[in-house]
Amino acid sequence: MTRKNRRASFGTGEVKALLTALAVAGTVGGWAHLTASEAAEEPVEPATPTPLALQFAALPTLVPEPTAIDAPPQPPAPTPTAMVLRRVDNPVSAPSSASGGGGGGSARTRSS
Amino acid sequence: MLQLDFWAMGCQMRAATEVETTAAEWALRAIPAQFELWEGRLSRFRPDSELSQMNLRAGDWVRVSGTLYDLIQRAREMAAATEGLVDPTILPALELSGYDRPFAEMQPRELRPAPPPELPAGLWSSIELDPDRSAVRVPEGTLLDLGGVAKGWAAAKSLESLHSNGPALVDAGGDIALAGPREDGAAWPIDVADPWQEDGRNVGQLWVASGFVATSGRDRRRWRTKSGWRHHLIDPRSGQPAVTDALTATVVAPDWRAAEAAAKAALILGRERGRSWIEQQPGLEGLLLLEDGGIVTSSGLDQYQWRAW
Repeated sequence: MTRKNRRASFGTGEVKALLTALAVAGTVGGWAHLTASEAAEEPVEPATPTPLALQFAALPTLVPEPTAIDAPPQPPAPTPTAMVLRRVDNPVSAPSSASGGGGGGSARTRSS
Repeated sequence: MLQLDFWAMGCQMRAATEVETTAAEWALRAIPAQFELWEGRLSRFRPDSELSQMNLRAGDWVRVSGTLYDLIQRAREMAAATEGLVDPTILPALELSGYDRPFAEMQPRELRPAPPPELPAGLWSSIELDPDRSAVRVPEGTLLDLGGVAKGWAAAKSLESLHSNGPALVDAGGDIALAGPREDGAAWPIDVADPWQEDGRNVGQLWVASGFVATSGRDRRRWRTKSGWRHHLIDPRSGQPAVTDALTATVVAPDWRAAEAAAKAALILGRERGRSWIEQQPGLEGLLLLEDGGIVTSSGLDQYQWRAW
């Protein structure tokens, strides 16, 4: 079929019929073409912004909130990091040396 | 005294408590798992972390955990307190400077491409927070880095769990939280690392009964590019690694946010303005170690028995 023929195959009456069908289905121009009785059953909502709460209700939670952090003290769970627990002497109340080693309970501040 | 040493967040950590009860030991042993949990949530290097997932949705409102929400809120407060010198939105600039992977994966002296001339940050004030729904909106076009905030926050949080048992200390890679004084009434000794030496030497020592000590520096986490050495402390005013005559800045403060923010701000501001800025903040004392080997201290640092070796 040539292009000319294809164009000729849609008559004015057929186009009108198609538009009418679409209008009944409520899809022409994005507007529903309702009869008076239908409009009474389904009143059109006023064009107000969507409440903010509804937007938030659909927000995704990225990672579930853990329960361990704020829970009361529990026996320790196995941890993936190597750790060394030691009983140490209290730090002496006198300056330590430049090479560090202020005894147990001392700390060292540095950039990280 | 019980002392626990462990590795987390790319740093050596230490937690200690003077109370040797079973409850205190449990609280101590639980800390590494907490750090692992926080790192999994807050690391920018883990694609599945909550922070990374949130950054992917920059421009949209997203609900976040209480942990991430709290961190972002604190980061905003720190940015406001420093007039934007400590800015969580520097991540695009940091990555363009070359720090786009865990530092341990960056080859020593690796020659990386020269970064673009400038990429200012400064979008921190556009971060939106909704406390009612624990929701956050990061401005489109930027990304958050909470690395500098997370260690101080984690140290403070961990100390809370230890402090109920008695005097305690948490050293999160140099960001230190102290609950004291110790049972004998003495303060805790805090060594200040020597940035000019890499053999574990210290440049001096402080004695702090309670509070927080933080150090920022450009002596570590630095790398070489075709346009010279770069480091990880971005000056948000330029979007480039800070150009400063200070090598490290250490601050003692009653609050972890103040210590963290002031140490970074002082380092960026340098010798004169950095010291002046610390002295203008109530309750803060500190010292700057300078590139030329000098040491500058705030006027009240002696209250912490500062002694240089």
